[in-house]
Amino acid sequence: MENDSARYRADPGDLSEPGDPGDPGELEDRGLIHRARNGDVQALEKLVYRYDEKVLSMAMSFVGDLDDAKDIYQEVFMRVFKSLPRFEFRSRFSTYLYRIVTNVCLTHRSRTGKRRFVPIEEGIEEDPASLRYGVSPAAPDRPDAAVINHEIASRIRTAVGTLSPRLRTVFVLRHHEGFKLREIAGIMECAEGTVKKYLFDATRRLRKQLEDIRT
Amino acid sequence: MKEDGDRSHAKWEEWLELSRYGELSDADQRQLDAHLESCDRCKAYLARLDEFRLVMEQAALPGPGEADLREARGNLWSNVTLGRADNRFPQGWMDRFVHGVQRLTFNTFPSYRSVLGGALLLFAGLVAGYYLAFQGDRMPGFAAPGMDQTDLLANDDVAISNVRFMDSDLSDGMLEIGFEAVRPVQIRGTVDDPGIQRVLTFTVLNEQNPGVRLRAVNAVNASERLHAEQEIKDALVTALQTDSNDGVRGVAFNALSRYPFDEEIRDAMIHTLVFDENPALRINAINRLQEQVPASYDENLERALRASMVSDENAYIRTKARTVLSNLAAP
Repeated sequence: MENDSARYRADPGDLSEPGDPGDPGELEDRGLIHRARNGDVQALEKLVYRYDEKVLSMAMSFVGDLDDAKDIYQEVFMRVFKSLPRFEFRSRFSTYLYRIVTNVCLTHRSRTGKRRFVPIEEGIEEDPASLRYGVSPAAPDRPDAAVINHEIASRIRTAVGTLSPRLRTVFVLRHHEGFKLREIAGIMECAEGTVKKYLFDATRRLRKQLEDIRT
Repeated sequence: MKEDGDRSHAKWEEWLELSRYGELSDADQRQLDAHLESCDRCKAYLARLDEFRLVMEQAALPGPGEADLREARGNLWSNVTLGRADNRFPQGWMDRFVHGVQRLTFNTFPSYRSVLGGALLLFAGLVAGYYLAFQGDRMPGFAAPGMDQTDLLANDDVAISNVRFMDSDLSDGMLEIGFEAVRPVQIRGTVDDPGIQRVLTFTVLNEQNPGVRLRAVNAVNASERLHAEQEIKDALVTALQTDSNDGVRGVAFNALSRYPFDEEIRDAMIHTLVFDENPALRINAINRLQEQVPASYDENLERALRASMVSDENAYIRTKARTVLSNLAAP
């Protein structure tokens, strides 16, 4: 239900968070976009390379699978290329781009039907208590630490996967990708207070689900 | 009454979370700090929050690497040029360089799309290669006419190899480094030049020859100015934690000691104290960490000190760890 409603409008010309033409980064983006529209391939390339590392990282954080993340990367930039001529600079290019990434990540999962988040039962082996060993720093003399951490990471991904798209979006963008709440509000086109509420809800639910894991 | 207490604490809990995300205003942070001093409930809540964050951070999966990004970029431009996005771009702009190519090949011979697309790219590559190879010696590397050497370095796709130090004497403030991209390239500049920094970073992280890696970290360490570039700092941390050569790790340690002591450096020092095979480096690490106690003391450091106190083969380190811990325990 919330799957569809959680998609964020990413049409060019949206009205949220107007781009500040005085911002040097924004100014450079505008220049690159204008040049790209006139057929300057290098400008397009530069525009892509300014943001594509973040795009791939976001995709990876959302879906947890490198191949899927690479697919999302392709899809995102194809959408950007398609809609760039109609982009009206009413929001920052980066906000617009990250909104597309978020939408593609959410729909990618629902479209393919793949659950990249391991079900809880699979995350816990025969003895669930084994995970109560806690998170260990990877150490050369403790090969088991990497395995335990991997299992815990699977459980965390499972738990994140159980969140609604809105809560998951806020949590991933804030916790994994380090976006400010104000930036997330721009991406999701909602008030900052709403983002705060989503973030608290998300962290509380996750803490509850993962309370048996100790450091 | 209890309900009132819960309600008021909901605010503090919200602030604690915001504080940990760095989203609390200075005024609110001061209020929160004052409240925390007298509220055990909030202290316990904060401890739970910190533990949760630590779990999330330590179990985080590694992000995509440079090679993954390069592959994604390659696929993207292939998709664009080979017409997988056929008819998906609006008329007018991408047409100029995408559909032109497509019309020339694909539309004429639709059944041989892939073959012709590949052939066209191959032909373009051969022409470009011929052009670059026969430019004479006017332009080192494959810099295009009018292109500065640093332009070459700005290109992420340039493969740097065979790094050589032509002049590593920093007395005149200048370094001269040779390396190969497509053809041998030499650049000259200060350690603060972005091009030089990029080659140094690359060398520290990727060069096979330990002697060359050592000269690279030496060059960074010998520079009078501290390098603000995060890339260089990261490279030094990586070298300290992973380089197989004791000398490289030692110089990386010295270079990092010049930086302001922050969490990243503290973690690198803890890593050295716990895992480095070289006792001299472990001693340097524990001495440096001791200087920062109690300001940067936390559970991780305590764990590392306890481990060293019990299991380090070096008596000095065991004693030092015990001393630091007992000093902290003393009222």
